[in-house]
Amino acid sequence: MSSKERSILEQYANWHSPSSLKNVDNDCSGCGSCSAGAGCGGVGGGCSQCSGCGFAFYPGGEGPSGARKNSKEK
Amino acid sequence: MRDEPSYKDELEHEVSYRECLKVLDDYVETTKKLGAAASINFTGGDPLLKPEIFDLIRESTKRGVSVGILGNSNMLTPKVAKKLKNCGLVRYQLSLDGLETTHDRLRGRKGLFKDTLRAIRILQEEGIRTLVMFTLSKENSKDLIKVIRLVARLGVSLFDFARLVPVGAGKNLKDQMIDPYEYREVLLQVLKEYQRLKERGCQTYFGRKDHLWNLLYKELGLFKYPLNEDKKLIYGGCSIGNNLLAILADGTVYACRRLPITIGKVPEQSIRDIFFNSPKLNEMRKIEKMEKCGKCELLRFCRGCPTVAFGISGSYFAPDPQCWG
Repeated sequence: MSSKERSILEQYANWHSPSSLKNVDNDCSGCGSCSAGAGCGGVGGGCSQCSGCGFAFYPGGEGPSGARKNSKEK
Repeated sequence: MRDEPSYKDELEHEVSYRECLKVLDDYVETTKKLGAAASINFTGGDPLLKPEIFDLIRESTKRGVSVGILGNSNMLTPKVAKKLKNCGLVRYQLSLDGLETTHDRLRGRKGLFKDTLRAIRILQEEGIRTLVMFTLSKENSKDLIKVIRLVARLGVSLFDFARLVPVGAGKNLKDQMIDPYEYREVLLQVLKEYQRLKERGCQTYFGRKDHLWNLLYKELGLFKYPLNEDKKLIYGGCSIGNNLLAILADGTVYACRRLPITIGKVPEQSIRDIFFNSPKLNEMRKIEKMEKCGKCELLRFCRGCPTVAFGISGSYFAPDPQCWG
């Protein structure tokens, strides 16, 4: 990655831990920690399940789409 | 893949299936190299009108991409749904812009509301996640709560609403846009309804797609800043320049599917080249230039909808006309 590319991505919190990115729809545990701001603020830094898509950053701490369903299944 | 007359030119120069695969490979390779999740939504009009849609979904899934359709009910039969599922489709978004009378009037076809409910059932039976989207305007705001209750009853996976964006087919509907304080009231009512349904154990996930939710939450004391917040980072809000590109049928690339500004062309240009080197996209990333948001405490979390601003004033840096803050 060039320094120019890096500087673009580093503006965005969700690109800070890209190696941990996964798909929200399929993998979110629904723990709620993402949008609750508990660690990552919904941006891919605190939860290995987070896709970092930004979709997760709904206010209110409910987690991304499918979260509640998945958490019940588990 | 779009069925509106205004997309005729775009369709006349539609990217071939072979070129689609080339773009897909380029996209997958780019996301892999950047370590990002790969997710594609095929949209239109009606993506099912494209003969190769099933192959495209299958090929995308095979490459590890999470695939969805943002479409309609027109061609969705149990047989088609099964085929979509077998190809790996994980989500299907349909529009409901009101209860029966309102929806059919706004969408211009009697019976469409019932067809949409039928499509939801078909998708549910096939185990495909159902997403319902409501485009909010003055004309249907009275139906919003009723539709929320309906989708909760139907057990759709996700419901959300988006504001009418006055570009493209909506450019003559500026007078249908809800006033800022009225919009705030709508959000308050919706929040109350979401909370009520949640307390009753409703399984539908209610999204907060509109970034102006952040402003409301801030005012209500519900907004939570990330722990160890880095004041230089963009944490949320509008996805333009961050994690989104829209590719039209002819290969034209937009920063957002609702913002009609060409930032590149595939397959002539690579996804990576467009994403990092498009002068127009890099200009859009200069969020401090945003006339109103640039001075707002929530700049790194919200930024309203630059496309709505563009539709009204011709500038995506102009104030979001529906922001009451």
